[in-house]
Amino acid sequence: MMEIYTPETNSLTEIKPESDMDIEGLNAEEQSFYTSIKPTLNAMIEDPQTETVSKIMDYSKSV
Amino acid sequence: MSTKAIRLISDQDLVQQYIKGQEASLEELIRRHKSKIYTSIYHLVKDSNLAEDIFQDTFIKVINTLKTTKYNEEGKFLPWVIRIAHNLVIDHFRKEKRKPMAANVEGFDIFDVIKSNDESTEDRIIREQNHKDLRILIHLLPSEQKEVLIMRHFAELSFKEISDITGVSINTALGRMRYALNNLRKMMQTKELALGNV
Repeated sequence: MMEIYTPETNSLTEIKPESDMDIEGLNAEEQSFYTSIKPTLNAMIEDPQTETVSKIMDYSKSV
Repeated sequence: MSTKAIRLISDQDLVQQYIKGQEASLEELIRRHKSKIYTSIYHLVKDSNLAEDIFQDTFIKVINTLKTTKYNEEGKFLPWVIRIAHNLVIDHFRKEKRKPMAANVEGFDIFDVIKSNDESTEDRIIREQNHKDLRILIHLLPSEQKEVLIMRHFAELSFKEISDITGVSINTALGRMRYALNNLRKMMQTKELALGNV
């Protein structure tokens, strides 16, 4: 964040730097790389077996 | 309650309903978060059988806590469960006296598996190969960097939540994410893995 003097208004205006940081703090380059690998990361999503979930539910009902 | 109706209920309310004895609420919580939790565990331990066991043990702890009314809701359901899973993963590796990253990469040579795609003309094959290669590179990251990347991407936790779970500052968690991304990018450049094909 920086302040710039603006002759038109004779005031200090607060402006944000050109979005080199996203809300989570990654800079533009890092964010761009992260975006590019997201499809691959998403392809790595796995699910537990149905049997495991059933065992958990059975346990829940037994206690 | 209909399936459609239960899907509109917040995690917090599902937890309260489950505490009051509504089993379907737990089923919905598992349905909602199972991929995030299981994927986070799986990519930390890199063993599907072990991941299944830890996933099950995680929910046994969740159930025991909720059913014995020891649950003090201090935050969101998912970060709480990820914290339990994370602790179980750490316990496992402590028992095994090895670190997560050492699990499957000992003696592993990246040059043996990152193969040139020059021979292939089929985009799908290239894409699948690149997915496979990037998976390997992710598992070559130092464990603390991989951990943050997994929690951020798969569990969709904020850096604040990650910092709470891992016991480091938000800046450290963010720094680890940055190192993870920068290391991945360098490794990909070194291995000439084309980003456009990922």
